[in-house]
Amino acid sequence: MSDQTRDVPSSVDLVGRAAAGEHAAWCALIGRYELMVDAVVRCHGLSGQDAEDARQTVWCRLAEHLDGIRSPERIGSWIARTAHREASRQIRLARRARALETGGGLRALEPVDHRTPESEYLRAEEVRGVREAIASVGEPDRTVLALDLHRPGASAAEVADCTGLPVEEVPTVRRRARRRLLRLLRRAQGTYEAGV
Amino acid sequence: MWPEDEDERADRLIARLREGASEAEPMSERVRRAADGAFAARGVEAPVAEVVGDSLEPDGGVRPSALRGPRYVLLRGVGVQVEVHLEITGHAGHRRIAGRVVPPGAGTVEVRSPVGAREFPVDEGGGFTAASVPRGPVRLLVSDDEGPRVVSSWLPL
Repeated sequence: MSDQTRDVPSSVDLVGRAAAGEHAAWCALIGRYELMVDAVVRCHGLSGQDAEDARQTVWCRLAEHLDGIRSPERIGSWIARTAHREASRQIRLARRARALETGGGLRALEPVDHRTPESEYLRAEEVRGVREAIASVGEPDRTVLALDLHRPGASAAEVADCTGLPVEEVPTVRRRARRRLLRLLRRAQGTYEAGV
Repeated sequence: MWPEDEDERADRLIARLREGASEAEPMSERVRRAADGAFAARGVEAPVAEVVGDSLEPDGGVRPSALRGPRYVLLRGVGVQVEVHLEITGHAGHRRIAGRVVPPGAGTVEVRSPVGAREFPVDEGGGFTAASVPRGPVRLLVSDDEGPRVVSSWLPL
């Protein structure tokens, strides 16, 4: 990574040392990617205990697979894909739990009802549209967008590390991903144009 | 090439969405303890059983459950002839797992969360019931008199 000095261990190094049982390397590894994992979990609309459960499962999977990771240089994008998958699974778990608790239906994760003021309703609809748009695009765009929205301070080097992109391609991919999101939202709901 | 104002619109969209979006935060103490627990508990000396069917998944290999019905999960040993059928019910923090190990055999099943474990008996017919299992990821370690038979991959409940 261009902005890493020689004092900063590479992720390959950290994966190797963590696989050998070094707890400090494990902590450094999850410290390096925890904000990306949270950004991904948030972009799927999870919060509270559901978000915590999804984050826990990501680290459980990483611990389970440490010995079998074939391309440790791509560990960032492996964790990102795992985070997207576990977030989607958690949404299904949360939807079931909500349905069991409230007797509600498929929209149990979207607790918008007729008493909600219109502005909040539109806002919630847009948030849902953004979530669905991001979930519908593949890698690396969805992780680029998750970071763009929920981790605006991420450097190009961090985005590259979390997606497997060469660092010099990050600005181009980010532009492409933003345009894609704009187009998807327009398609889903013509009225977004007015607010853009 | 895209017209330049398309990029400007996309940038404005992101700026506006960021205003309402929450920023990523470090993990809570609960998640950190779970991550450390998962790290400490890795390397179980038993053949792994992978999830090969999960009614929670749209393409889960078994019939999708009704939204309010039980969740069915099928675990299959990798390189070993053991299957574990699970029926998961419950909500509001705790789950109940009714399971059957095939081929059957008496022994124990240890239900491990990242921060603890509890053991339940497996009867002669391979049946077991684990009650009050906390939400979040768990793995199951099935053992008999001769030792561990299989350990499952992490399964979020």
